[in-house]
Amino acid sequence: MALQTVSGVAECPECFGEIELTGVMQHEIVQCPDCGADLEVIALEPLTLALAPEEEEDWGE
Amino acid sequence: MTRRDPVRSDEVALLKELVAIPSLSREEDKATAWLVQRMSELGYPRAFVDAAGNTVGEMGSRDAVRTVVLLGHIDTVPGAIPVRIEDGENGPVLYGRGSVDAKGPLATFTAAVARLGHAWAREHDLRLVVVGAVEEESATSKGARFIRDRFDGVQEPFPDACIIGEPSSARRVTLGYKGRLLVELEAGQPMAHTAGPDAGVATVAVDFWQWIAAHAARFNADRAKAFDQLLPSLRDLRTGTDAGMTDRVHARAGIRLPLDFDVQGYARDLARWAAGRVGADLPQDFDCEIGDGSSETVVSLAGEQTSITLRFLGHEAAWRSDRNNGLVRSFLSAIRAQLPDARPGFVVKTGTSDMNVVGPAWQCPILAYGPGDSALDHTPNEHVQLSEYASAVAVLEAALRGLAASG
Repeated sequence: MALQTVSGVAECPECFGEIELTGVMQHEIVQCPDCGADLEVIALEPLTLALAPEEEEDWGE
Repeated sequence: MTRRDPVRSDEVALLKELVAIPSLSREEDKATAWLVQRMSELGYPRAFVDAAGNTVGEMGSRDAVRTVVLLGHIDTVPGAIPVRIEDGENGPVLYGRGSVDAKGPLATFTAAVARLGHAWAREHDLRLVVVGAVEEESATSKGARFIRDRFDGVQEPFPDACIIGEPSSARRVTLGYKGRLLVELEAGQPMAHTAGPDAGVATVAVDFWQWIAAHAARFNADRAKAFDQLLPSLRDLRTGTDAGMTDRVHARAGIRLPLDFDVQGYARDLARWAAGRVGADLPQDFDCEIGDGSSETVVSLAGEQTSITLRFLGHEAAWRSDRNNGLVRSFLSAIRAQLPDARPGFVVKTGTSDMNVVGPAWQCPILAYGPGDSALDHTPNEHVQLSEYASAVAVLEAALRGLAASG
């Protein structure tokens, strides 16, 4: 199965600004150009963004 | 975490029996033999012990177009914890040494790949190589180095992706580990009366530690995250007098390294400090080559009164994976699908793992994954929730299906 990519406009869930996206894949991490938030493409149709997984720090192993 | 996949008794038995077999570093034989047998029973067409003593189970054709290495480790640190399942607040919990670090992740790999099966792997032209490496818990990382060299792009192709078996919790993936350098100092000077004018040899070790601590404080001044900092710890300090009437001090420091740290420059500066401390000369162009964890660099300096030997060993460079690759995307998709109430997470760790050994060599998408809370690593209270173990098996199965489908 070829990787599906999509271009279009989506809303930033953090600042509600419109983001123009080109050739993005499902679960790709992108950055909002307005507020700088890291976002994850969680759906392609319609193009939907959610806050990307937070990066935590831990110790081990 | 809401789970869509039931806890399977055969997969719990796999984990419990593996945890029940003691397997300290360099004493992994019984656990390795048991797991090879179990992999054969689970349908792995190739299950064997390799020349390093690693457990290896392979699914799919030997000459498949793509290879994914699932690199866990089978050894544990010492500490016998009675193996038992108890009811916890969130369901049954398995206690035992290695239940988190890292037989839980290794059993997760074994079970998830068994679910996929040989026919599925062949159909997707994918070779899945599950490894239970030996000696991860020692600075040698013997098993991982052997696997790194097996898939060297000549004998066998570099892997297309690698999953390291370490606890991240079922909802998170680990993207990186800090590096490590161990530095040992041995100093000696002629035995002297403690009421005399000369400072005792132990002060050399104090000065050594103060140099390391001050260097780290300067380096970390504008670095907020632990992953980006230089994190030293003093691990050993001993004094004594030998038969030749020389007072001696031994100190050992462990230093956790950030990405792109100039370890050669650090060793060179520390050697220059030592030269200054004993009043010895170092050539202007002196340099200090630091190899990987299997090598040791020794610098010996002698002054009129005091001698210092520095040993640099156990070096592993820090490694961090990219967030935007097919492997990470497959895991995010799988976590969202299998754990719909949990928010996926990324984590970077201040320790090291076999990712530090194979990441730089393979340069492929890599992450660490496995059930369990790494805060329980090496503790007397090591345990894993069986529901989380089941979730991790389901997530890994789904992630590998997604990776195969992504072409």
